[in-house]
Amino acid sequence: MTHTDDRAESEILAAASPSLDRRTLLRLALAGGALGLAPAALAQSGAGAPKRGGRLTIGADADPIGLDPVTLTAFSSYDFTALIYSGLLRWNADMKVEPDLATGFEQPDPTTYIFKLRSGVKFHNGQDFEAADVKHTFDRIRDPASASPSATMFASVKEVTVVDRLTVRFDLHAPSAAFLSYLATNPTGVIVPRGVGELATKPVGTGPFVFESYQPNQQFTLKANPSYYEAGLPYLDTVVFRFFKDQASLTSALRSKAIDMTWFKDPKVSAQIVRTSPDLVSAPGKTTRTFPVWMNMKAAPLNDVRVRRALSLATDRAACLQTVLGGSGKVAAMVPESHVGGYDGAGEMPYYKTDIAAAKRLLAEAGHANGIDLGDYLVVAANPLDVSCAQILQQQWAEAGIKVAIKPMETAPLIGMWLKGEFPTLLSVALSWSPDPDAIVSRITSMHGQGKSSGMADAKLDAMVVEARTILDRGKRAEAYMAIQRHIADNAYVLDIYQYPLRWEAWWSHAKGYAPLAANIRSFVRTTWVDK
Amino acid sequence: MMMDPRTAIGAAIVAVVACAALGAPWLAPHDPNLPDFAAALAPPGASHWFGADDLGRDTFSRIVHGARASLMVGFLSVAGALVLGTSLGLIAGYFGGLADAAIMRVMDVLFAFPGILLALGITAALGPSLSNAILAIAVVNLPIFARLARSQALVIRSLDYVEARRALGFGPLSILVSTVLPNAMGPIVVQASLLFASAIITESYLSFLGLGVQPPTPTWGNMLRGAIGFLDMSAWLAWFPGIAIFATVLGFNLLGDGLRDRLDPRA
Repeated sequence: MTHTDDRAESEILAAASPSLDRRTLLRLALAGGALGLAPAALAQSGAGAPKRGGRLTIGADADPIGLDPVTLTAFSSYDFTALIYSGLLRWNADMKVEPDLATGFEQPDPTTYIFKLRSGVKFHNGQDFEAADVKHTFDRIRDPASASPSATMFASVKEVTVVDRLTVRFDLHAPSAAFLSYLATNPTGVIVPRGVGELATKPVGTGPFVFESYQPNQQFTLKANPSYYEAGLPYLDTVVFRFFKDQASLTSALRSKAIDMTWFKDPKVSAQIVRTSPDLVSAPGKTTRTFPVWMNMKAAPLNDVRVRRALSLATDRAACLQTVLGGSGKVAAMVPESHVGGYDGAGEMPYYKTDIAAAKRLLAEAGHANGIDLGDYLVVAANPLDVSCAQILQQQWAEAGIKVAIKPMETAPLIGMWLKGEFPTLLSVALSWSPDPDAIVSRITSMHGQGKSSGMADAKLDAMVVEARTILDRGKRAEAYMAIQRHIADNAYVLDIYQYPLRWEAWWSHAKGYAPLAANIRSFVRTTWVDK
Repeated sequence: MMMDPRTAIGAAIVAVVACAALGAPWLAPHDPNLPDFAAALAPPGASHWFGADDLGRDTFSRIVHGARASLMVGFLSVAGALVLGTSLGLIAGYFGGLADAAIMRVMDVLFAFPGILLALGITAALGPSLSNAILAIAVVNLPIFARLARSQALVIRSLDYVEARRALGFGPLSILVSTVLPNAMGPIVVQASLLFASAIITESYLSFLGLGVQPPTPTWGNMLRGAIGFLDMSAWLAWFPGIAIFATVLGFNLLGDGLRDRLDPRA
């Protein structure tokens, strides 16, 4: 990690979980009035005045899996929801929360938020955006029938009430340190229109771009939203995502300028291409995600904590980091360093120090003195870094007598099995950036469908997670998340291996006004213009 | 009898590959699956003769171990197809009638699919693994042997020496095994040697697409797959498995041609 990265990360750290004192809220509300200035300033950071029109072609590495923000679970969809939909709040380039569809809000008491909405905003289908849409969205999210992955994040919401056409009130069960972060996150907190079905295939939002067409495995086309509410934006007429199934074709498409912008999954590949082309702009990735090994703890042998601890002791996390990422990351616990209470990769965590002899002892105690065969270890075939890390783990575990067979799979069925806890023993799918550490740790509580279905039943952990949600003091909150992570590591509920940037972004210098966002979406395509 | 030089070259290449496969554990200087981050993407040199991949695994060691997968898939899939296909073909050709019609229509159906598509379909349906790759390639080759054996049986069944055996009171099974089969074998063996080369290529396709042998076990196909991300800076990762596939297929084709010249009376 370079020095610049470290600074950028500390900025996110400061912003990722805004502390909820009155002054911050006042500032947020005030910023609502100043909206429009920030993107203009950003766009002018490129040379000259922004040019209107033109088309930006983005090389994408995965197709969306559904476009209904309430129900989608795949990260690959976020790129599209980020441009089609917008929410009450949003993250700015410095990872600070700012108003978007809201003009500001008041907080009369710690559990009540009253948002004032922009007037004159229309959905892409011409329908007016009103407070009732906000209520509709959050009612849908909280309806168990929607099976929305955002439901846990908004579990603190007791009631959403339409005060008048452009005013909406949120009543919370308890103070929630994460509430505003969730609202600012796309697609978690974005607003969907009332009375419109089939959003998964025919998305209708209030965002800067309108869905035009989608040919699976080929391209996804967006047109500028002519009635977008931010004056003068977007600059581009058309945004085209072209899908590339492998890094090599993505690399050559960028080289040949068939695409203007892309991101790479492999630090070794991105380092090479940027080094050889001076006109390529690259942004250092930020450590925003983790690579975990998820375990099915419903049944033997992984319902035995000794077996799980043995796996943890047999793992050499630093060696994985060095070999797979060339050191471009850090050892991980549940929460990446960029969040409040995130793990810095260096502090002590229970069962993190590699100790093969101790691992064997634990296995013997658990009745597996001659080693154990854990069967299939499922990984995402489309992510070479994951497959690589799995191979290294397989080698490391073998030393302690733990056998696994690596089974690379297609992404969509694997995610389905992961969420439903329907996998044999071990499964790896990297955790993308999430707005708040609560989203990361709630996943494995018994209160969450996923945690429950993978066999979690730890009342102490559940209580710790519920409590941490309500702690508004930043320092105390950080301590609470460290304690949760230690508890998780101690019970080896999840084997976190390393934390790393999600992608390494690169674009040609003729694309101006763009800024990468640590939230791992390309929000700033709305301020991008092309000067070819 | 002098060996044709092309056949000799083919035989030599095949011998080298076979030795590499059999002697892999002794020939390989490193554990083929052992990562070493200090050597990641190392170019060919003294400690890694063919360089090292992105995880620092020795490419030479992986190539010689990869020969095992390639030859094993080639041998088992061709042998399986030969045994079953030849049996079915001989039965169809010798007995004719309903048996012939039933067997050969099934073979026609298999033939109707392009080989690689059929293999992809089978591995996709059964799941990617070494044994399913072998099965898939065997099924692809099955109708080739069946047709060849049938045409041989059709000719041979009416020859005088078969008539003679029949007149002496031998049963059909005995005649098939002891008279028809040995006389039909020449072209079938030649076909097998040629199909060996195509089986190795098909295995490489499947591994390249992630449908063959699963990581970390090295095969030439999955080594090529791993190399595509690094073509720009570490092209040797693709060269060596590519050369291995090319040379092996060339070797088996030359050997097969030589065998045909010698064994196939029609050639």
